Amino acid sequence: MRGQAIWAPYQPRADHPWELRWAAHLFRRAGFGGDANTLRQAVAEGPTKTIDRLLEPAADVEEFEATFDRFEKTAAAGNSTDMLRAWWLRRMIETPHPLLEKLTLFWHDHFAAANRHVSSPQLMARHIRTLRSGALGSYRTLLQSAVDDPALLLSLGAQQSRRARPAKNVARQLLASWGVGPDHFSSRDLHETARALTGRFVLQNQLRVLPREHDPDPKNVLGQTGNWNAEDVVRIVAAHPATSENLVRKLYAWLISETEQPSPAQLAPLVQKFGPQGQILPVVETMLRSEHFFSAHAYRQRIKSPVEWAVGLARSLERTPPTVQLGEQLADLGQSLYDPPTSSGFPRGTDWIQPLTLLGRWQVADQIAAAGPGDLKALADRLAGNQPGKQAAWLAELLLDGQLPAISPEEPANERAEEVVSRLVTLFTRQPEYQLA
Amino acid sequence: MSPHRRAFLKSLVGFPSLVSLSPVIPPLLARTVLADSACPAASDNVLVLLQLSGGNDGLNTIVPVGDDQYARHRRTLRFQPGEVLRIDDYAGFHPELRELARLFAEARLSVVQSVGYPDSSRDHEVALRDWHTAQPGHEHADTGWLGRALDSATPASPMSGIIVGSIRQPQVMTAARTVAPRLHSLQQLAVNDLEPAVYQSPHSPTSGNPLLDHVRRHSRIARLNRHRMGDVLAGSDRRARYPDSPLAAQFHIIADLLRAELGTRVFFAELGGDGFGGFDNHANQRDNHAALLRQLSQAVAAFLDDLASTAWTDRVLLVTFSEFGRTLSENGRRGTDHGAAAPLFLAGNGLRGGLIGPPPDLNDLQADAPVPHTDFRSVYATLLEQWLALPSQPILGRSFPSLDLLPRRDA
Repeated sequence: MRGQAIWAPYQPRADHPWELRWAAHLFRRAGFGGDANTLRQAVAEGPTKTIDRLLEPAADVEEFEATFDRFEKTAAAGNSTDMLRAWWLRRMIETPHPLLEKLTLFWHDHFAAANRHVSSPQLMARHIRTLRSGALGSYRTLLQSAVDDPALLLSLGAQQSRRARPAKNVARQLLASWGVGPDHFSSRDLHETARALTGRFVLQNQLRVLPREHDPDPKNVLGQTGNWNAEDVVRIVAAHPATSENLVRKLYAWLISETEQPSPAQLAPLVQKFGPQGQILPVVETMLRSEHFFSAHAYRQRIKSPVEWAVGLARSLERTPPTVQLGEQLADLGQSLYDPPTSSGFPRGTDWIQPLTLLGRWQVADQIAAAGPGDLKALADRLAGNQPGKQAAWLAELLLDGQLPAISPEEPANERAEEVVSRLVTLFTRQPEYQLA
Repeated sequence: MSPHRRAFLKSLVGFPSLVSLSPVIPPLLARTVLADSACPAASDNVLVLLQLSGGNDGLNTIVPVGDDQYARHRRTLRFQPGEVLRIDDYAGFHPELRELARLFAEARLSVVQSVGYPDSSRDHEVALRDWHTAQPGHEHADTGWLGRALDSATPASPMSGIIVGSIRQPQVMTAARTVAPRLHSLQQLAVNDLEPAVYQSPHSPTSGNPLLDHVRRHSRIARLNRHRMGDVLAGSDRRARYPDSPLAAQFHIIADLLRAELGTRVFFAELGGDGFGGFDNHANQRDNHAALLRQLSQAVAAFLDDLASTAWTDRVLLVTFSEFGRTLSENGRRGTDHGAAAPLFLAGNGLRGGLIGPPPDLNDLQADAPVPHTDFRSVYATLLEQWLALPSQPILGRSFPSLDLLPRRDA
């Protein structure tokens, strides 16, 4: 299919009706999954209105973020990011603007600052706040703040770049990972970009620009010659078509599919929308509204990362598990927020799934289901009625898009009604399908 | 399953449940799942890497009692020739290393002497990072040498690693793609009993979704693993006696995981990371060091003796390391300070055995510590090439000469 057709907005119709699984799919990708009321409302209201609200939630998002920013301030006071991690997970579980949080996580994976190099929870907290405030804005602005962010500079080992010895780490990252990609720049581009970034130091956790250490001579970066500084190379890299295509491709893998490599022609309309400023929201919006998004090309074509998976379960079941412990358990499953393993971010896709990480997920799922507030049975009774069959159908809607799995428990289990719900959660969350987003 | 139960489930989900599996998976299924799965062949070797945290005093581990310099500089901490467990006229094991000395006599333990690297750091954090990343001086190295080893395995024969115990995400296992989960107790695997029916058919037709097929395949193995784990924990061949110590508990977990044949090829464990400074004995070293070495010696021996009753006995190699050795001189507080080269242990069946490489030259010191003779990356290269059958050069960044450490069963 060519570009234009697949990005046309999806309109429900007889042979492709708007139904629960599409609403659930939308909330998994644009956020961390929906709870019962959210999904019911979405099914009732249709895709257009639902996506409108995902893009612009009615709730007071500013107030919510300000509250959590205050919590984080205290949490960042110590030496470790354990508490920050716990608050971020909590924020993801409770946010009224899940799309913003999902994209913040996307940018964390993209820029991949790691506290083991930064050694400052305060800087890490500020870094993630910066990503959040720009998560749906302009990529060029995000890139500029990245290049100026002491957390990223420390994470990349770029404490200083002197005129006599230009540090290449940031330049390499800017070109290869954040920009045009490894195939689109030469070693000369790298060297000259590094020269443009000279004179920048991190002193006492602050960026300092020392003009006498900046190389003032002309540089040629990606075919453009001038007396470039940091702002200039950010502008040049951001405006390069290869950068736009790389970013759109990466967003595609997050929001649509990890299994298919879209062709440049398919991406072209989005690359154009992204433009030299890197307009994130229009691209995200086009993807989420598209025919392509609501198709087999996207449905379950992504594996949930541990964080997506755990936050999603907590949100679906309206649980608030203790997130300090959860943060550590998710780190053991390979995803430690604030500490991605390399400057290319977290593992992805099938990397997440091996027998032991699945056993870990199964264990954590039961813990999340057992967490408060109240007990899950009460919620099920209230929302689905107290018949086991109805509760099973309700949970299948919440967790498996309404598709009841065939069940074959192997041992006689206690059949007390109180335990039915939690056993069903156990069963449903272990479905291979539940690991897919 | 009781008819009553079946009826209950039927009522629960509104349509008949499929035929259930018996609690014990039939051997045929187990075999087909394995054949079908990413489980490595049973012939694959296993590496257990043990970190002695804090900087172990190599000179009081393999003690050069025959060297006047040793006696002269170790006024309060020195051992007399009669106290150590004699290796030769020059050196002997610390008196608490009785079990290791026994393994040494049985050629199940080798000692690689004077291992380190040029201009080694004496800062805990930096030196540990160097040992973990195998890239000394690269402050911003991200991945560990074992993490890169895991990543370098092919999709056709993937390698998995497990971190055992309470240490959090050690850098040595950090990989760009491969997740090395941590297990601090087997309870983590003892998740409860409900299972999706999808496991019933190991050869269920592919779904057309490669991600779903991947998760299904690994879910089946996970379930098999859990059953095997249950069998192992309930089994009669788990009689081995382990001493009551944190390290022995970690080894016991590793032995159980091996018995359950989870296919894991790399394990990481730690001794001395409990927050009491471990091997970092700047003051009153004697008793603390002795207790740690006793724990090490007994736990390693219990582990190897336990494995001796399994098919793993020839396939497991345990290797110790510490971030640095210690100074030759005492520091006036009955302790020693951060040093450089130190010995490391290799334990397993049919090793070449003996002392490998020359002993530390106590007349050739750098800032009061023995200089290295064998580069630690040569040890890593040997383990990668000859034990894990992986090319070492891409993992270590350049090639290092292999050492003559390992059994030569095949050659």
